[in-house]
Amino acid sequence: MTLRELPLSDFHRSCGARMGVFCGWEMPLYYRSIREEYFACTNSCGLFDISHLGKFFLRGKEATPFLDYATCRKVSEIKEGRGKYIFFLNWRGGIVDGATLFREKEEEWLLISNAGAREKLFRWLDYLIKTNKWEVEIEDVTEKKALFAIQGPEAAVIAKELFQVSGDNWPKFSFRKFPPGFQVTHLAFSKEDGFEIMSDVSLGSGLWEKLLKEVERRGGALCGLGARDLLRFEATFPLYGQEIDETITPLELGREDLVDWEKADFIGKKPLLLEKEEGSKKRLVGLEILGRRIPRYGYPLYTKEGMPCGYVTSGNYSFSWHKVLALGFISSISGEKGETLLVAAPRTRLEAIIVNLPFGEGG
Amino acid sequence: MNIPDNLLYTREHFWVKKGDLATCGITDYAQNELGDVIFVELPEEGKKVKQGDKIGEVESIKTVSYLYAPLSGEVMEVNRELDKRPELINQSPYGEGWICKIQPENEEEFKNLMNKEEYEVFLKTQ
Repeated sequence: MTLRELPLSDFHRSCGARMGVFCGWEMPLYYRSIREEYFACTNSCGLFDISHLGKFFLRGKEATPFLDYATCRKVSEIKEGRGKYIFFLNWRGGIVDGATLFREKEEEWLLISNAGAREKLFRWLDYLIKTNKWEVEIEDVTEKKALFAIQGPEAAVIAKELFQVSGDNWPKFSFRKFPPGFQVTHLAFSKEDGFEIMSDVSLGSGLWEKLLKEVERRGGALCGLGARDLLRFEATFPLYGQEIDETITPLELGREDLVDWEKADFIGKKPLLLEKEEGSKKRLVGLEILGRRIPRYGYPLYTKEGMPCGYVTSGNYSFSWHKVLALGFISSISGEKGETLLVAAPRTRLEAIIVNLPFGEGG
Repeated sequence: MNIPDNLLYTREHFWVKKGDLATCGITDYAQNELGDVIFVELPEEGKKVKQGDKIGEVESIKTVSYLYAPLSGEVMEVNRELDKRPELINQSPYGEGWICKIQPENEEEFKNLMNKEEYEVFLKTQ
């Protein structure tokens, strides 16, 4: 498989980016350090190139009823200019991907997916459309569009100044379009405020330069995936391939709020209803690790008595809370808040205390 | 990339400063590869080590790596400040971020180490 490059990858390298591979893309992991970039986002603003995210347009007479059937949230209620975070489920109720879906026009939708799920999601939607002969066209525009994010307390000021918007009326998950072809969405993959700006690749470098100038003027910084991952982790946003995969359901993830039971039917509804009746087999928990070792994806979890009870999905060190935290799935019969679990790390066992999710809310 | 010319280097990216005791730590290249260090498992004080032995670990946000003894001898002192401020390894790899001091038992082993120019050539192969 050839490595995919961001349209601005030469620029990232010239800025000293430390590049690494993520989901088949060569991406900036950090420019100076994850710590500095993380604090740029919590204190001022960080600028990220997230053009690797999957981008699809769905158009056609039946685009809306199709999406209502293919996702577990009620998307037909979304107004033009607005969007929602949604799950696509498989027939067993497992998550194909968590994505953001925006209504461009009455029957035109923009879908932004996890980079790791892009091809799979495209094949899945294409299969559903063709087998049931939905009147929907799906177009993958991932490599035709640049997508940048600004995250941090200064993000709103920067977005409003750059696009000359006044007033405060820009609700989250809503987007606006600006000439000559920018789509700006109020949204962040973190607890901090943020905006994402999409354009054709040809407009990307000019846009990036303008954003960078504004971000640097306010003491912000260029940021890589390292800081982005830590910020999403602290906010307890699931990442595809870690907290999300096809063996995990929205109920196990603790996100029943993203399931609309009122809908007559959607893919995965029956197994999900059964799970609701019978109870989930596993659930996502937050863990506070004693010590400074970071549990990594896949490390097994044990009860204090030594019984295997689950696995870690993400671990990281929070520079704000000065703690190592982790997310993981445990079997539903084990573990309440405050209980101690053990993480099997190479050559050592780490003690982990179960804490409330999302992190940082009442411990 | 900072590679001081008064130090010696190992293939495992340790630097060594000759003296009554050999002071050592990880190089600027290594700290940059590791990224933000958040934990250092320091070598044991008083432990006798052989050149190339695993003597500790560094945990960064990105990865975990071993520390390998650059020389044989006794670990006489370790940098306890790293328990509180592991980020010193990133901020000052050749200074405040030193890791341990070893009483070398075999002067011959210094010959296995690289000087600045040799280490620079070696880095090109990495």
